[in-house]
Amino acid sequence: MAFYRAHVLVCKGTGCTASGSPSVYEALKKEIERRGLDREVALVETGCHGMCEMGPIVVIYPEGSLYCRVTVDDVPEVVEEHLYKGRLVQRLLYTTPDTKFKVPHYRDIPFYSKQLRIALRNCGYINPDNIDEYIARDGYEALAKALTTMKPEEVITEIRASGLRGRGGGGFPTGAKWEFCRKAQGDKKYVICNADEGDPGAFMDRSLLEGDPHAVIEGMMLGAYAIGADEGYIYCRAEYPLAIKRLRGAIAQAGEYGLIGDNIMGSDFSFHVHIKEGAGAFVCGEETALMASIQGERGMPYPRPPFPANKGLWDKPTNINNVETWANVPTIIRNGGAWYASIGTEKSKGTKVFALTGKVNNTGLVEVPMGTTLRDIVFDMGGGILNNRKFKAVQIGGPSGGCLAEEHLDLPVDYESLTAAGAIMGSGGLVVIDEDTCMVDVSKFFLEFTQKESCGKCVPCREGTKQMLLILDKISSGKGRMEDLKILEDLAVMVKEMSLCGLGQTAPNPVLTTLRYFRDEYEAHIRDKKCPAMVCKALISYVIDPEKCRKCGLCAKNCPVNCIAGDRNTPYVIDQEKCIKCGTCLEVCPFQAVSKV
Amino acid sequence: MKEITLTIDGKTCKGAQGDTIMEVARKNDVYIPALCYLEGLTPIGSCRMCVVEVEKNPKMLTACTTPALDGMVVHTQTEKLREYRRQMLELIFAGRNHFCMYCSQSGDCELQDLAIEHGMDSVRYPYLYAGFENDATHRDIQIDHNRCILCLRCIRVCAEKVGTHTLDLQKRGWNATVVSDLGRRLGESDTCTTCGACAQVCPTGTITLREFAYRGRRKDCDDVIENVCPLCPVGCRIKVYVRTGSIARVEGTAVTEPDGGQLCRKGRWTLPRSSERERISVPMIREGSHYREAGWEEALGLVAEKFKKAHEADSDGVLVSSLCTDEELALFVSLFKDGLGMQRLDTFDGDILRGFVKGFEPFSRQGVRPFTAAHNILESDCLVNLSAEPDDEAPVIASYMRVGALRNGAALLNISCKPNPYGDLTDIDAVAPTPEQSAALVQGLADLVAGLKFPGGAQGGSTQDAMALLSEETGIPERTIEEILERLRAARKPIFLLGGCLSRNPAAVTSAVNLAIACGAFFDDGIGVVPLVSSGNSLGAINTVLAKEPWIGEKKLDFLYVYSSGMVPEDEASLSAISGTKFVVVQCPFWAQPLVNLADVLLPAPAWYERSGHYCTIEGERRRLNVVVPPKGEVRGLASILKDLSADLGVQPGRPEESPCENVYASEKPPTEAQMVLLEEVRK
Amino acid sequence: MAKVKVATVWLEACAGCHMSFLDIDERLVDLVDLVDIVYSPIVDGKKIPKATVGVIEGALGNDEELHLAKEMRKQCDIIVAWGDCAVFGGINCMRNFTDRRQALKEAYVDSPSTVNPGEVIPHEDIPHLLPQAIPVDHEVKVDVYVPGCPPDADTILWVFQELLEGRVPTVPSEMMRYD
Repeated sequence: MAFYRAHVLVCKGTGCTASGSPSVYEALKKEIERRGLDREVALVETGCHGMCEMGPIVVIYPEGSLYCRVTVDDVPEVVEEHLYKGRLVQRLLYTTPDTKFKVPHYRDIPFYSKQLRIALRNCGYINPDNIDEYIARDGYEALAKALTTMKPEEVITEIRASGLRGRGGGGFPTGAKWEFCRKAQGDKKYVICNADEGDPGAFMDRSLLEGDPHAVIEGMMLGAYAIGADEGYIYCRAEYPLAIKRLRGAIAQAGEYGLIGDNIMGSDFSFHVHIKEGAGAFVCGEETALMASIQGERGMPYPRPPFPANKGLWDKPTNINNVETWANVPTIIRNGGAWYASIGTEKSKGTKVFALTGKVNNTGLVEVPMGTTLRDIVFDMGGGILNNRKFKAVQIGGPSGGCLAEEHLDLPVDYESLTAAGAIMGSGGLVVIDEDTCMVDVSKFFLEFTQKESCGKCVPCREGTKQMLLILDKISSGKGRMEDLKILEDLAVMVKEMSLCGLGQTAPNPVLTTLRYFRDEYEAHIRDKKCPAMVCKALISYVIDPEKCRKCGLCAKNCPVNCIAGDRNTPYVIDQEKCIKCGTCLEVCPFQAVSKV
Repeated sequence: MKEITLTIDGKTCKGAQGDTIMEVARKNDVYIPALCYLEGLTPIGSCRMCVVEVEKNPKMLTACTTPALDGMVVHTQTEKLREYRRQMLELIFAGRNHFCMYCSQSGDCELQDLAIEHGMDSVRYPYLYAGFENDATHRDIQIDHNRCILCLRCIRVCAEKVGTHTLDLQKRGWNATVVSDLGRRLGESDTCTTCGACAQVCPTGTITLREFAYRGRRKDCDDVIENVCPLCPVGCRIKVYVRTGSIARVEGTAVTEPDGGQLCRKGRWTLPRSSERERISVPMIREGSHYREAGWEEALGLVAEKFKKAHEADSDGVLVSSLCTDEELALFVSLFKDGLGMQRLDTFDGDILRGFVKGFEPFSRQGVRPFTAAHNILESDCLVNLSAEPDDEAPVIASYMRVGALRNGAALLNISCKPNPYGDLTDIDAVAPTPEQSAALVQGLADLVAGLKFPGGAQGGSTQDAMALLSEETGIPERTIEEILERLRAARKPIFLLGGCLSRNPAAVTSAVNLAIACGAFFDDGIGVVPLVSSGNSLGAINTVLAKEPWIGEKKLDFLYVYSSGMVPEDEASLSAISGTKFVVVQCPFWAQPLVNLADVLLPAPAWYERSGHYCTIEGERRRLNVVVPPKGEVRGLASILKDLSADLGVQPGRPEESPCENVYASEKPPTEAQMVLLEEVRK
Repeated sequence: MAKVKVATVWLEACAGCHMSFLDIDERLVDLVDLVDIVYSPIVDGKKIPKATVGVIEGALGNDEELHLAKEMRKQCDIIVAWGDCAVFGGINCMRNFTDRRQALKEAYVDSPSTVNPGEVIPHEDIPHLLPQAIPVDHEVKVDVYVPGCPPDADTILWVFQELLEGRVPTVPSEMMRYD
């Protein structure tokens, strides 16, 4: 076995790939070879590190230095300074925004220091295309332990003890769900991995599948062993081609080693898994619609009861869990349920992966123990609000979730506290909102999404979300009346209670939470016909201050609808009738003469 | 079934384990509003009107899908539920074009009824005025998508009862609409059989039958009579709506019937149209090429005179439609056979029926019933089509076959001398070049299956050689024969559908029954064979007017008394014989061409809807017909006419046997005791 | 006791609801003893005076109808909207499925029995069409809804009787219809 004195890990997650990490990888490879270092330095491609804002990311061991935004031009210096001379390239290290401190070891970067990476333990560490690296990190040890020393019931006991709850959003105790399925009568049982991550802006599952596909597969096999299934499906959205490719590769490699298929590791347990690609429907992330889709039917949900644990895929007992849930299972079995339960809060154990996005400095994936406060996530790990603007709200749980205000910043993140505040944990989307975002617009954005993705089967969701959206449109264009708020709220409550599936039941959440915590913004739109955040186009105007205008004409030149008139001697004026409120004039004016009112 | 007890709205309700809350409620007369729920179709819980509150359960549950548990306490009419239902109804009204004043279905609309019931006197949401399409491409069925509430009943009935699954949804959410064939309009569909089941189950005015819209709301009709469709041997139960003496529409009785209340394009349209057809209202006597009206005395007198002469010369005959009821058939027998001692009685398409009778005879003699109720196709796991073309002969049978293959997972085999009528649904297609070869294949298979099950069976010798011989004889590849045998062996409850064209060769019918016995096709009521006889009451004709040996066309006759229903065309052979007869009396309700033009005397007859009686159907039971409208004017019932005629002939008719037709279903031994027979027995 | 003042208008309507009202036949005689119709298309009146009960038939399709509806709301204490047009929008809403220009063109130029070679669409000195034909309650608050096309005479009489006894009624399901 070769021994290397240094490992250079290049992130090949989708985000970094989009920023150009493949070329950086190639450049590094060439440079290392050119310098004759290829026998001493190993170059590894890994999955997503999580700090996607700073990509392409290159981490070099044994120092553990994390270099940010590495370009092809930086490569010679990195190889020369770091690999040859052993000196850190300071300018590429992560710089804390307030103290401007250059952090030498990545674990001290605030983004990482507060994380506890259990599900993401291998992401950014291993090459996901090489099963040996997964095995070297204790991969498939849990499966071996279970198959040789544990009975299926004992596996369930460990999971129950761990307190693991469904990470897809439902938060249902996983151990209990497995037990229902185990007890269900059936000659055939299935396990399913829900990898149809549909929330806009959520990429936790994608990174997991791309960075550590074996963790999910091993988790599924442990689950199958526990409930008595021998076949499984991974329903992965077709928009994740890299994840699907890595999964297929991982399954093939595991098959070669006898770690999946018939008589795994020589035991009586057999397991075969199929990958089913989604086809662009958010509603197919709902478990009953997902199963309908696997069966070749139109992806529309079915009322429950009966529950999938008793009557699921092709009417057989089925256990469905989210990608992140499955990924936690091997670690729990290896370290024991009690260990997992020692992390987190009383009712929410373990960790949760969040996709931190929005108006923060550090966007990316973070995995934190349950109970971490929102303040820590947004300000410490996220590095505070972008451009030093003021924090206004944080939207948790994607289109199914709710908006929380400043008063909730010290809320510990766990299922119960979030639900009590009106939001939901959801799959982990966390969007940070600043003072320049209009809350009416935010709820309209999410409602537009859920309304478009509604399958159309049940009346409350199909018609209700449409009417709610119409009211929001009215309000954001200044035509709303105070009675509309009552109609909107009543409708939201009804849709939430009466819809057939989770899509309809949670679609009103953004509306309800924004009405609860930001009602004043709605009322400003209606009563004053003003948008406090200056976002809703119908309620804002762009004006040029004649005092500040230097008559340079740049605004007129760039205006897409030619609505700005003036000349060398006359201050320019915007024709409000024709203005489409695109904001280009404000952006290009060198004298700050254009303002929004 | 274990009994369970629920409390619904304070009332103690009993039900069976496995019932849903809705089923328990309905059994106990507790009303829960619903739009998408229809008994007989798989419930989907999409309209949310039946949502109920169940104590100790925080979620709102749909009564139609939630299994009822012993001890459940259910509330169906709380303030909150009423308010939510009202909101959802208003949402539905605002969503599409639901203006009642110009809708043909107003007054007959479940959506309207629910809205009024919930006191909806205004709609708080703005109407969306979206303008969906009004699909009038189909000649008979119109789909106005503006009125659609997406209850999906039409989709479910078309998939679960008719089996074509022509209708389904396209697009998603608010834009979703019902389409045919994955994206076509109904008139462009290749799979629609025009059965009209979709229109029957549609709760609003979305799917309407173009001919019968505005003919009368169901509530406005003077009467609704239960009757039986006479047009094919299935004999679907029907509801006939009458308004001012005219048939306003015809529907199936209920979706819970095995036939799903679907009727077919024949029953749903031909039957109501028939009440508008021109009638033979008084007796008429031919003069040259015209008919002049005559009185009953003159007409029947003439008939009697001509008959006596012909009878003396043994040149007389009677042809009776097998759309006659059992009672009418018995009357004919009592006068002409018993009273007058005539030898020549027969029915139209007699050869088909005779073939079945002769083919079945060896088994009837064993005391077993050689056929089973048609709807048992839905209980079978292997459907074998023996030269049947049910899409034309009996569309509901075709539906059974499709539903069996598609939804019940049954294998579908086509062993026939005709092309495969089921397209891609068929698992094995074995079409022989001639009917004889197809029949030989059937018998050969019977022998092979029996041989496999009973060592040293009918043929003896090696199976492989037998298969090779059979392949050569019939022109079917050996591999196909092997596959068929595999399927037949694996089948636990196969069923064999015999087409009418097969029966012209009685030996083929016997072979089919042999095959059924060999494969263990036994149902509660008989051997797993469904004979597609040709007419509504063919089974009734067997023990009454059917001739044991054919006489039509043998020689030119001097006298023929022909009774036709006028609802289905007469067969070529009969028409040819009639046109060659010297004196023909035609008794028919309608001016049915070309039959009436061949007559010398025309006598009026009651139409199918003007009489009562019984039919022996291939659904395994005798079904009762009721008078829809009483006959008017000179149209008299058959009994009265034949009484006068027998008086004129100076004969006393014998007493008609009480129920000569019920013997058709009789059996002394269970079907499992049936024995295969050698064909030589039949051929003689 | 002073007679209760009632005002009625018919807006974008066929007047069928008023005809249905008259179908109370001889009971009209008793009603007139208790009620003073101060403004109505069926009596002489130039301006809408103050009244206790204001009845609006028909939808709001143009400026004038909108103005009249608002006047009625101002002058009357209780507004009754009778007929499907006033309550739901009714037949008038058929034009909402297309745009105004198209509707006008269909009516004045394209319809088979029209001779209009100049393709003139009237527009001078006449009220302007609203963007959509709307039910009354989209613009003016309504207190009593009486759906029907037309509502039954008995239902209308019942509504008047309730109002005369000082109650603001809601039409019960047994008396309600939509056609």
